[in-house]
Amino acid sequence: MTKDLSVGVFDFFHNGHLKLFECCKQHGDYLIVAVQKGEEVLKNKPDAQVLYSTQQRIEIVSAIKYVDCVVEYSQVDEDIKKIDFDVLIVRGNQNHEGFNRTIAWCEANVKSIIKLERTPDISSSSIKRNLLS
Amino acid sequence: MNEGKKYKVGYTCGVFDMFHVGHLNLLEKCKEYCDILIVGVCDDDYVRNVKNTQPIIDENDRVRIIQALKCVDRAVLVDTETTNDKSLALQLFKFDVLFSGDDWKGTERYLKTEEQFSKVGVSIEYLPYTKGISTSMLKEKLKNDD
Repeated sequence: MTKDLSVGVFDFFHNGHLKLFECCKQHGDYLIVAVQKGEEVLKNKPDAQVLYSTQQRIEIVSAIKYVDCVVEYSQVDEDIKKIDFDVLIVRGNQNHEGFNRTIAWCEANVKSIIKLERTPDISSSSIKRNLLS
Repeated sequence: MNEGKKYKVGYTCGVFDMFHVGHLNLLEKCKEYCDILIVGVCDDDYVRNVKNTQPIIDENDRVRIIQALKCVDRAVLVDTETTNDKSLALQLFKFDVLFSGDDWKGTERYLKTEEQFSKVGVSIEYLPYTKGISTSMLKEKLKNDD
C-alpha cells in the first residue's frame, strides 16, 4: 500500500483542494492530509488571512471521501519526520525554505516526491478577493 | 447499511456556497437519520432570483464539493421549482424523509408540505442550524479583516 501525504492550510475548502485530493488518490492507495495549525501559518505567510480555526479546517478535510487520515502540524520540515508516509505530494506554490528542507529530508529518507501544478484560477485567496469585490 | 437508522432515503437541499462546517454539521446530522442521503444543490438561477445574491462558487463546483463528502450519497443540482415545491423533489428522488432547517417549521409553505407528505407516508425532520456560522457571517468577517 502506498501512502500519500499532502500538507497545507486548507482554509475555505474549494474545488482546487478537491482536485488535489483526487489527484493524490490516483497516485496512492491511502491519503494522509496534514493541516497546519492556525498560529503557525502566519510564521510563513505573515499577511495570510485564515478564516477557519484549525479544528474547523480539520473537520472539513476529514469529511472528504478521498481522505483517509488527517493530522495537524506546526512546521512542515520538522513534523513530516513523525508521519508514516511514502510519497509527498508537493504543489506548485509550496516552495518556501521550509519546503526545500522538507524535500531534502524526503530525498535523504527514500520518500518519493510528486510535484503538481497549482489548479489555475482557483485559490482561497482568489475566492476571498471575489468576495470583497 | 446501518439497521439502526430511522429512515432509508433522506433528502435535503441548500445552496452550500463557500462550504463551511455549519453545512457539514447539518449534512452529517441528516446522515445520522438515514441510510442514503440525497442532497439537492440549488442552481445559480435560484441564488440570483430568489435569494437576490450572486453565488461565490458556481453551481457545478458546489455540487462537486457536496458529492465529495463521506456523509453524502448523491448530490444533484436542483432548479427553483424543485427547491420551492418539495412535492416535485419527492417525485424526483422518492425519499422517506425531508430534512429542513427548524426556521421553516410552522410556516404556511411547510404546513402545506406536511399535509401533502403525510398522505404518502413521508416525514419531515426539522433540524437546528449550527449557531454562529453562516456564509453571510464569513463575508462580514472577511470585510472586517481586510
